Amino acid sequence: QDLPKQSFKVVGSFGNLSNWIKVEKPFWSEQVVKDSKGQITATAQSTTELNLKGTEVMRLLKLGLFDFAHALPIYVAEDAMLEGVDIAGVAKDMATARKITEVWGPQIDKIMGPKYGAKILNWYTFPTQMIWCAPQIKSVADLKGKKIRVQGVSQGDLVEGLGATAVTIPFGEVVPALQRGTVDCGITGTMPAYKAGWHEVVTSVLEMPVGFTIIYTAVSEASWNKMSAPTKEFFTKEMKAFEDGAWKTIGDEVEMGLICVSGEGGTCSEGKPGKVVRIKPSDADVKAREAALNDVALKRWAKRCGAECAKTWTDTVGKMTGLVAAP
Amino acid sequence: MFNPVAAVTPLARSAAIICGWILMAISFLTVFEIVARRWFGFSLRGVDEISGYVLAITSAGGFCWAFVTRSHMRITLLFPYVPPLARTLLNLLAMLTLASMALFCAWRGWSELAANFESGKPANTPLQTPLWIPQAFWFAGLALFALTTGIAAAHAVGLLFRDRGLLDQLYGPASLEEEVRTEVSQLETRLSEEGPEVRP
Amino acid sequence: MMDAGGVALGFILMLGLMALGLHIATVMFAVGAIGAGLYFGMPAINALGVVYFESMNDSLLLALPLFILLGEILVRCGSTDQMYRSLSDWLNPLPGGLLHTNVASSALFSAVSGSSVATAATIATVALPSFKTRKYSTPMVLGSIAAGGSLGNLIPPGIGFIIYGVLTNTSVARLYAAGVVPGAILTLMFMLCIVVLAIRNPAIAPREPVVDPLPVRLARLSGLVAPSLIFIVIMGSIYLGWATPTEAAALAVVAALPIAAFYRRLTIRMLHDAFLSTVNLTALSMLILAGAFAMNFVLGLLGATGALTTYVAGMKLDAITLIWVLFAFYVILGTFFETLPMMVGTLPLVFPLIKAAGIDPVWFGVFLVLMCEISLISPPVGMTLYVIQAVRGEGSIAEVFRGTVPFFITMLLMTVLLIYWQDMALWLPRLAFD
Ligand code: NA
Ligand code: NA
Repeated sequence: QDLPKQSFKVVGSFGNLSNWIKVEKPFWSEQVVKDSKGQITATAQSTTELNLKGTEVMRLLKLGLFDFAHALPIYVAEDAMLEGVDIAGVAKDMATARKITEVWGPQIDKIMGPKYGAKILNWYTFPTQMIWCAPQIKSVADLKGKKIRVQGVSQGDLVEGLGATAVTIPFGEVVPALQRGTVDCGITGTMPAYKAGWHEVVTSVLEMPVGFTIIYTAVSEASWNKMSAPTKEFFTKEMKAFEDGAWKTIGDEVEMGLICVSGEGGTCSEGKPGKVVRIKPSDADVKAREAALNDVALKRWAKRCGAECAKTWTDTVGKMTGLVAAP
Repeated sequence: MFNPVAAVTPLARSAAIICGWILMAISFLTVFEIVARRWFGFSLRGVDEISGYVLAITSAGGFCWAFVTRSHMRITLLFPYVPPLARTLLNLLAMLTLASMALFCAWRGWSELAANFESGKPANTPLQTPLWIPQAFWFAGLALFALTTGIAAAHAVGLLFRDRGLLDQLYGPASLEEEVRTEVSQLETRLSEEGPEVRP
Repeated sequence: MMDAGGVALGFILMLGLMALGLHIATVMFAVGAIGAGLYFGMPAINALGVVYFESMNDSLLLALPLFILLGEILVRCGSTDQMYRSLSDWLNPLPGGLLHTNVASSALFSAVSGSSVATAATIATVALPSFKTRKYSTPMVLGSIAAGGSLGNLIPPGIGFIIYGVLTNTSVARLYAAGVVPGAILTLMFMLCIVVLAIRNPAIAPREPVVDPLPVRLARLSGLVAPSLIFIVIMGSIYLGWATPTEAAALAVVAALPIAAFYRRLTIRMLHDAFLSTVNLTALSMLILAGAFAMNFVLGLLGATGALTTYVAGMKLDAITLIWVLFAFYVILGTFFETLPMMVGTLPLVFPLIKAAGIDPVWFGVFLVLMCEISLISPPVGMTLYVIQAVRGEGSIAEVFRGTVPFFITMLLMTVLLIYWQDMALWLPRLAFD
């Protein structure tokens, strides 16, 4: 039978990135309408269109301004527990990153209700984050003493574990800072690096995942509780399909981003390619990352998160990845 | 005679001076960060975040000061062309709307602060500052602004029936005489004692 | 969702409320709240509180109070007076006399100040007493200071470039380089404008033929040392990669302290006076800015920006026509919008159009900053005008309005020049970076 006719308000992620353009926007403006036979419609806007920073969206969801929000855990990261879903250096590839969201996501969902009156429906990601350097580098060893711009605390910990200096400066200042040597390197996703013009100021990218910028779809509990059972069922199904599609689409973006910044390995679909040198990590590089992760990043995170939280993580994510988080 | 503006001025002035010292402190902290990063290979990580809070605190902390010095901008082009009663009513309306906005923002600010205070978790930055500490400063500024404008608005409503002249004097756009007085006293401190010789 | 008619209605409502003499910040906030309440109800009104805090909590915007503080300290240590005095030595003989010093000292001060409003306030404070006993045309005096202030953002460093760079991911260093030549040309055009007006009507500026002997004038050039030093600290630290543009502002504040000490003005009282002015100006700007952010947020929520993008994209304009349309759009918008809200509010919708039309983002940054500068001196809402009036503290603001007219026209001419000679802006960044 037909679903009840209903319209929803949705806030998406950054308007200039593929997560919005290729995943969130088409989902709300086409997929949902089509699959519900026109019964469900949505007004979806990116944070960019709304002149928002992004950090406000969960509070706006709680206020009832939106029914659904695509939000980043790092935006509500006053709680170190949220970081557990994307500790820098833990996930070595996208498949692992996704599995981590499956086991740690529910932990985060637990606090979403009491704190934001929200419920998480699915987890996906931005393109894999890598280290981009203005001076020519060849390996992790070359990062020693370099100033690396990081987002989030655990990235900083990992970078310090690699012997570099972690620096925080606003995103908008990164490109000129790289250009003039205020910082030597920065960390961001492959396609986002291209979209933000990093390829014009860096020479090399170390193709070693250091993080993923995980993102989730949340629904406000108030809106959710008002939905009819068939509508809830509809969204549960749609959100699963959304998740599968998003991991696939963004997975493809990772390689395309690298093609676009380097001009190597294919044809850039987004515009004029750059000339960044792609550095494949050696076994020594991977070992160095693991050491930095185990000796610094995980230890510090466990301390921030507390013994109980660290134990839960070790029993879930740790079990899966063979890692231990203990202060 | 009770004058809320005069009563709160010393407090607003102190708040503004504190904000000035906070600006000075963030400047030195930034210079320290620049030097540490450039020559000593380490970074405080989070100076940018503190900078954001400093701007919020400085703005909110100065709202009341800008109010008591009547600096919040108004366009009074039409004022010479409307009858005195209408002008008084517009002054009252301006005061009421400003106070409404101030009260609204303080109320929303309180709910943000309360939420962070309850959870009590430190900000997830290397500095681990509890979020409510900067927000408490921020809220203090908003609260001072809201309290002052709220009392001033109530006072203005009372004056509408008792002393309309005083209403215009206290809550109208600053009178010329007043502005000249404050600006001249400001100029005296601004200018060097010798004074540039251009001035005859 | 809102259509173009609704947007127009909202703007008329806003202008009407402003004309009634309500506080500008309140009006923007109220228009936002009315729009939000009408279309979305209480949740959207409450959301304005969240947006309010987030708009004030911005690390990049800290450059605003820091550049104001820098200016306040430099003024109070007496160095600005000496700079003004020294420049007047050399410029007084020109037709227009001391009016040229207003423009030139603004240009020089712009090289250490990131804010047009701060530049105007500073130069007004220093310059106005000099005119008290001279028989210059009052509107021309005020107009030349307002015009000079409008160099504040165009000549680097500038908060406008910082914000544009942040919003569009354009290199701030390139933008700074791009602002230099247009800034210099606009300074010369202002002075040319004064010369023409003074020749046509000598009554606006009495001639002052008495000039001090050359050695005296040369000795007084030392008045230019302090601003030059600060300029070197700001641009040097950025160019050498020691500091980001925002950090450079903090560095300059710290560097201004020994300069104040050198002039024997570094006292707690001086600092407190500087703090009071700085916090005052910051608070009044930020209250408006926060109100504007709230209004912009609601405009976004109503889809007003999106509707406009679609509308413009439907017209399929070529680059030069698009620029002319935006020129007209910004001049009109600039009459009642402030710099920051104007930039923040329109860029998300305008920048994609610009890129699609193949317009250079660095050039457009200079164009947009120029548009913002025009908005600062165009009534009824022009921060520079009000600040000058506040510093003056006498007479009618209408005199300030009247005085800016010739300079407003000069700036329109400058914009036309910039449109048809785009290399004016692009030449230096190309030389420096490619
Ligand atoms: Na400047
Ligand atoms: Na204007």
